[in-house]
Amino acid sequence: MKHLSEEQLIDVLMDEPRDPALDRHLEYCPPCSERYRLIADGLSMAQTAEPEIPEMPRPMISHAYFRRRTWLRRAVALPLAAMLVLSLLGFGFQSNQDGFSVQFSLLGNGTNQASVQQEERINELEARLLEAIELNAKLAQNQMDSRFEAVFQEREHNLNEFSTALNAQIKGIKLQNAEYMVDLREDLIEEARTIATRGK
Amino acid sequence: MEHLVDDIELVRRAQQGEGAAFDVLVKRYESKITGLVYRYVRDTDTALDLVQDIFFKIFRNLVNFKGESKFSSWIYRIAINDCIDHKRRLKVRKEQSLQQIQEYGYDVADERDEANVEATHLSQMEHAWVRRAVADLPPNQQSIVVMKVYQDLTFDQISEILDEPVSTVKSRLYKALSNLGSVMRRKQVIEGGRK
Repeated sequence: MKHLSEEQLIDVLMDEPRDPALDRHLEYCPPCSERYRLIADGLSMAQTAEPEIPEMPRPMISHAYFRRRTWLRRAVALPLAAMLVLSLLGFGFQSNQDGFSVQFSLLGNGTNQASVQQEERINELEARLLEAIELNAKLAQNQMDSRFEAVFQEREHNLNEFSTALNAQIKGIKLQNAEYMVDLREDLIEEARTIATRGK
Repeated sequence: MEHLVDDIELVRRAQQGEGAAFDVLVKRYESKITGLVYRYVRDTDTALDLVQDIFFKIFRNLVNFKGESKFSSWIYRIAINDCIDHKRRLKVRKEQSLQQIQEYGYDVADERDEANVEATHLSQMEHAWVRRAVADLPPNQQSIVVMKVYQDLTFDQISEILDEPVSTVKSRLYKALSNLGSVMRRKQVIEGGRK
């Protein structure tokens, strides 16, 4: 007999109506029994994970509630759709402290007061934005200049300190060198004297 | 007397606008659908929201129900699809899920070894890990585990609900259980190696 298919193994595991030969095959076929044990482990794991359903409040479900909900949706959606269509046709809507107003301008030809006001406002905002950008650029430049100044000052200070230290070191070396020359001279004189004494 | 009327008759009356008939159908299926959804999402608030959405969909689409399948299968199908959509919205990645399960499982085991906490707490953590493993199954596998193992539906019912052949349903259940079994085995091997 061929190895059991996935469906046949599930039939055995879930105790579905099946051919008894499937169970007999499982008894002597190690690969099939291993696959069976694997899904049996999976089933026991799934059963362990079964959640207990807690007490829950009843959700708002009734014909009357759903009718109201549908009506409300329509009540909101229809005016919005109408406004959208009207605005596409050239109507403008405005709401302020004076109330709600509707203007009409065919294809936005500039006669609409609301759009003129809007344009003025945009221009004003653009001008303020440009001012802000300029101011920001100046501030950035000032900051940069002061930073450069500080860096230059620090560099100069460091150079002074370095050259002072270098000069001190050179002096020390010169001094050591002079002392060494004196010692060397004395040694040479001493050696010459010794040679002269031996010659006599 | 309403409990004697069958689903088809109630649906017909509800389709004609009889609110009471719809309410009887709701009463008949509400707890079953709530159980199914809760077992799928494992969160009370989410389950309540989803159940309300599911019945609202049923309310809106009832006029389109032609009786080609059982009414119960039709409701379950809407519910399962809603659950699967919900899970997809949460961006659960199917391919990486089992690997994540293993990682969570091992972390839990580490904590247990180091903390030496009480046995009851251990059991709770073990349950949390196992629940996570089931919840992280791919949506189409998890839905079959929920319907077959938790809701005890027959393969024929599941097949009608999902509009898939019985063989496909069984094959998916095999894959789901096999995935869970593999995760369990690997966890056991790791834990055995640490002892």
